[in-house]
Amino acid sequence: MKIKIDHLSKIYKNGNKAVNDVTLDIDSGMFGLLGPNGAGKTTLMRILATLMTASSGDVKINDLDILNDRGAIRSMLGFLPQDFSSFPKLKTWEFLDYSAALAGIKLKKERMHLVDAMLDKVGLLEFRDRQAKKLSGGMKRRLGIAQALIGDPKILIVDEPTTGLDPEERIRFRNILSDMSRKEIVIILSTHIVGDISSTCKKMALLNKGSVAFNGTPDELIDLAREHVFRIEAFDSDLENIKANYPVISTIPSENGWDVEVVANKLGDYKGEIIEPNLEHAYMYFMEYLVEDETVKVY
Amino acid sequence: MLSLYNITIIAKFELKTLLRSWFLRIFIVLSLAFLFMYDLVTITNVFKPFIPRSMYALPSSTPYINMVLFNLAQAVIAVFLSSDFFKRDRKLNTTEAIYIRSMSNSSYILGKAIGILFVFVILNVFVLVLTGTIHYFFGLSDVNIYAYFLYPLVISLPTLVFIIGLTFFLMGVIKNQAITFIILLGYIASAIFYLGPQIDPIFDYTTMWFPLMYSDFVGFGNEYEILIHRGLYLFAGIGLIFLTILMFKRLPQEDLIRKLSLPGTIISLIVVLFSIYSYILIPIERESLRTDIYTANYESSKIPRVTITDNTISLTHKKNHLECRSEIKFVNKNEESVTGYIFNLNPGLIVTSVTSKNKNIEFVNEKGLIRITPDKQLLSGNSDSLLIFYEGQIDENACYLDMDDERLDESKRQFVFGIKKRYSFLTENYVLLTNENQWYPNSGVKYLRNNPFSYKTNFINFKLNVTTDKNLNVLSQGTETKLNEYETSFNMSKPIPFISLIIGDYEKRSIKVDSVDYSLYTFEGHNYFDEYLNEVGDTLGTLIRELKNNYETKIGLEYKFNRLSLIEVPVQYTTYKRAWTVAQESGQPEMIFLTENGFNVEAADFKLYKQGQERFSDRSNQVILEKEKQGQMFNNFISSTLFDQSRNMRFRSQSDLQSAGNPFSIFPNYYSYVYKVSSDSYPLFNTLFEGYLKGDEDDSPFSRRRVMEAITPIEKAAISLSEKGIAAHLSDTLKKDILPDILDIKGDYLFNMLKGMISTEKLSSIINNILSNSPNSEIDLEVFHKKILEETSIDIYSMMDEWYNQNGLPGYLIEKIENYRFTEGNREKYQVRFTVTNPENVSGVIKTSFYAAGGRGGGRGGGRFGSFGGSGADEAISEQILLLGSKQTLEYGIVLDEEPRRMNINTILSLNLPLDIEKTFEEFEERKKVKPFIGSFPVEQGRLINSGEIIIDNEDSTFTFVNTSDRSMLKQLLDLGNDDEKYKGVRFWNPPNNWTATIHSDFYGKYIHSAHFIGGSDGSKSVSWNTEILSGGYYDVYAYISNALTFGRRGQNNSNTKYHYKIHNDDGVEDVEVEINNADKGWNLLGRYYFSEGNCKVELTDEGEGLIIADAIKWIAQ
Repeated sequence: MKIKIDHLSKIYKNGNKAVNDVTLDIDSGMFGLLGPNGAGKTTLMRILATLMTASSGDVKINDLDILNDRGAIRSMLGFLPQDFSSFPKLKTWEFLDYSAALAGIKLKKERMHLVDAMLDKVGLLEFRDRQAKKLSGGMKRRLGIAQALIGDPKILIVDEPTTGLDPEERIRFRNILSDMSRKEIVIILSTHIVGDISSTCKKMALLNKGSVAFNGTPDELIDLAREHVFRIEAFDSDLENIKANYPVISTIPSENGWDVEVVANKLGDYKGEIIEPNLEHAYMYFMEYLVEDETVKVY
Repeated sequence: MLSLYNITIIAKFELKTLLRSWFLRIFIVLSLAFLFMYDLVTITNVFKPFIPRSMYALPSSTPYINMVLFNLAQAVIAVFLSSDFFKRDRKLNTTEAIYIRSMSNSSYILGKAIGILFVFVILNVFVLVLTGTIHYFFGLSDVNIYAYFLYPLVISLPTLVFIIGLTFFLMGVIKNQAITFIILLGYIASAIFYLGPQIDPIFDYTTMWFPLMYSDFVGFGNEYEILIHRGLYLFAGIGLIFLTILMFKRLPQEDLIRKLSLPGTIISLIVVLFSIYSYILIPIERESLRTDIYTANYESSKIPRVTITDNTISLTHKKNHLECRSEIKFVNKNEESVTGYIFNLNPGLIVTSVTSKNKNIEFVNEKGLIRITPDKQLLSGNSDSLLIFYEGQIDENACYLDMDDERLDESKRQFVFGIKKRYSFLTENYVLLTNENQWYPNSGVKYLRNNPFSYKTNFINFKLNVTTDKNLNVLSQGTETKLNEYETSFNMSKPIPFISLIIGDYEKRSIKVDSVDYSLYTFEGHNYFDEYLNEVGDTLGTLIRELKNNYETKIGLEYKFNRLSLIEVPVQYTTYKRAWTVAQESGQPEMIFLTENGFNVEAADFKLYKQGQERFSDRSNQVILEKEKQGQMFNNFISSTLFDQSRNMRFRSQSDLQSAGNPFSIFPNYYSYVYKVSSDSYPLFNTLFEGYLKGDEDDSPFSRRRVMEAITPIEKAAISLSEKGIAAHLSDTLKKDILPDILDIKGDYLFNMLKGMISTEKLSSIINNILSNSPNSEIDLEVFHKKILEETSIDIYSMMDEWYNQNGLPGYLIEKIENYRFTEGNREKYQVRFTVTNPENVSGVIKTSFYAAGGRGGGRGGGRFGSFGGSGADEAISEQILLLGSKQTLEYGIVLDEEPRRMNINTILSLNLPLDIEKTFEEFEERKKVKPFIGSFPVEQGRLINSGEIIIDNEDSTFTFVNTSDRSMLKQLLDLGNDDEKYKGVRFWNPPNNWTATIHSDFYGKYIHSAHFIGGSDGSKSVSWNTEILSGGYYDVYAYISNALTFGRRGQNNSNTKYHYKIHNDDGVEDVEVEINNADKGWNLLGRYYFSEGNCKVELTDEGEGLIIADAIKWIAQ
């Protein structure tokens, strides 16, 4: 499985460039699409999910063209939209059955078997006869992933799946995705929650204002932030000043005042200890210091 | 890829989702409950309701009405469900997870459409199974299983496809369910309430207004139009669904249907346009054919026609096709020689060859005419013969050339049933051909637009030989001989004006009474009357004999045929009343065509009659034997259906302009098919004579129709004649509708004048003498003229001339009615006397009739069951004709041996409204030492109004009232109710909220006995009678109060309400209340008041309950 995105742009009627000249190669495995709200993640995902056409550029999936081979591509797709909460008047199992049927599982018996297996997998078996719209938010999202997974999709697109979930649900969700990523399929996960990616993705891209700001592994992103993450021991009086000068990642009260973690190219007047960056630090550093330059170049 | 699998899946889940909608569930429950109750009430005997038989007479009517009603509802629900799918797709954020599945947009839309459609398929099945079950187990009619399959296909399916398509399309364009819903509901309402009924049924996609009655004989009878109408909506729906696929907001994936969508939309559009075009073409083709025929007829009318004496027809019936050979013999009765022969034949029949003495001769066959030029001219008095071969079908567009488009296009409807109008049938299993269909050649042109009375019939010796399927029965006139399995011949021993042919699967029952064969032919399996007439059997002969004798005594003619058959014909069969004869096509020589299963034949409603009988015997505590009851029922059926001229089959939508006449009347078999009085100078005479012989139409002032419509068609004719004479009417082709009634009433006037001049008995004996000498042939008017001149010295020609040129009408004032009894010898005698004045310039004639107590329930109620036990007719105990010169007053008196309960003065043709003046006698006071006063004597005209007396009637100009506009926007838009008429009928259940004029004999009036009435209310609307007091003083003020509008629902109307009069007098305004139940009939004193010179008035408000009636006020100086 290979998805080649080539100079893809999407300009809305109001002139807003939601996706701007994106070029990406995505291989099998889990691919994380990170970026702030409004970065164009959802637009890109919708283009990939054949719900929308691009203004220019093209997408090839294996050798299939997204414009000309929509039918074939759709038969490989599983998609979980960003919001997934309102359902027709169907029971949980029926909704899944509907998805399975449309995914091409024609035999009723096979479908019923699959549906129950899938419900079990996402922990909804005991709610199979409940009206889908009466499930809780997390359960709905799980039903969402179940419908996306059913029928063995070759490409799985999940748009912000963990937003609004409690930590337990989020972890359960990540685990389901991780399980899937062992298979020969492409999973594209868009999120603005860094933790989703750090725990699951081998490769990732960082999208900002419609453009790819970074494309690589999470480690490569972390490397960029090495020696740029500091912990400052600050007094109450400094705190405001630090906040004004540096992007602050965390502020933890300490004996003498505060332990403040910041990202910075260089730490000026403050004394700070360099600490080992994680993906969250890296994302912050990247967005604050590297991307800004980039955008200057662009505009 | 178009995948049947995907469509099924989507449809299945759509269906599942929809069935969970509470909205739909409530709809299902409500509609099924409604139809269940409806069926139980109307088609079963569970509640023993007084439901007219026409509601269920035809087996198909039950599924028909259920489908139509359900279809109206589902058409609305379908809009909701179809628009809901778009709304859901847009609203639900889970939709995109479905959209990314590999399926084409066409699969998706089709799946959704089919899912919705399937919901309704299930519902329709429910409805039909429910109806069918009730129908089968409890229904009063048989079950026609085809109808149960056809109606959903014809009514529901195209309606649903169309409305689903339209909703999809609009939702695609407008994207707002509420707006789509409003637009569609507006469209639906206008299609059902306005476009369909008012403009054309083609606009009504629900078929509410489209004729779809299914006959057991011939099915729908308008398959072509159904195909157009339903095809139009089906394809419009399909086209719109295609268009929706094209416009659907989801990235498409290529498939066959999508590729076909654009061409599909275009093809659907073409089919729709073609359907509309074909539909428009139907009347255009008819018009163009008829115009051609009119022109051709006019051009050929100058050519002298030959008179056919013999016609021997051999006809072969091949499916929907005829092959005929007609051998005609004819004679030239003109004074000049004839060089070319003109015959008419239906333009659908094509002449293949014409031979004369085994030699082919030249002919031209076009526009319904055959033109033949013989080798040599036919000299006056000489005969010739021709053999004409022709084949083809009947073009019904050429039938009823005398009817205008308006009449032809009038829909034939009863309740919600629409019935296609057919004038003939020619199918594999059923054939019905009458003279109107021109299925054999007749001499000359058939109909001339500028001279309808030139219509010629002559008496012909017919022989007919018919070859058809061996399983079908063949019916025609004359003695039947079965030649072999396939061939039947008919031989008529006497000449008759025309013959008819019916072929079908008939069951025959017959009885011979006094050398006449009476037969009843019903469609195989149609035997609903068996259970009602199962015991009448051995008395049938006696019943028939009595009925026949009574009728013959009444009309003074004898039945000249040897057979009389009542033949059931398809419900679509339609006839019209014609200007020149009372005969309609459903009466044929020796035959009467009764509508299928007694549909709309009031007296064939045996169930209702029986219920009435039971109610009657319960009330009167009489025990009547079943056999006797059935005898009554049979008598009522025959006399109402065959003998009663006014008992007419009237369809709701039919225009009120003319009386429809009784299509089943047997009278034409007594006169029209046996005699004819011909005259070149007075072609009208035969029509008038026929009208006179058939007797009066019985439009009793107590009839329901009088109450409902206020003015009868005959009275409309009289009003029209008061405006202009008959000569002007005959030349006015625009007012053709009213012409039959004009001739009827004007003819009545002529013959009653004649009766008055030479006495009824003498006139009858002259007529009988002439007629009995020449049955089955034409009689020259000259014979009449000579005979009448010889015996009475009256010149009928000059009388006709005067009659023809007369303008204006007589008018009658009846006064000083007195009734009392006295003893003569030892016998009680009853004296009635009155004066009658005709102040007009035209002399007149009136007919007085007296009815004994007991007849018609004393003039109250009357109605359908009033005559149980009697002969059925309301026999007068005395009838007299009275001639009244212009400006003459007669004093009239009569002495009767029996106490009369009621007097009717029929003014025949006058300015009076109603034309009949009715007087009911409450009591005959005894008077001693009086001499009988008998006869009529001219007296000085008395003063109509005493001095010192002022009467203001509601017809006077000083009677005033203010009405508000009560026509709502909706009513105005839909044009419901005819508001043009000044006088309106009374609808007790829906009284007007404005003062409205109506007519009744009991109201006060000079010529016009009218009053204004209003539904009782709060007293805010009042009328006032205004007058000028010339000399001041005390006056007694009276109000005229009648109980004219209290009939029908005895005791229910005017539930002892009070009338509130306001008398404006010198002391101010006096309120006077009159308790209406205690009021006298006639003038009621309101009190004595002082009025000084000048204007004064009396008011009546609308305060009260029931109907408030304002008639007349009288001031009498004291």
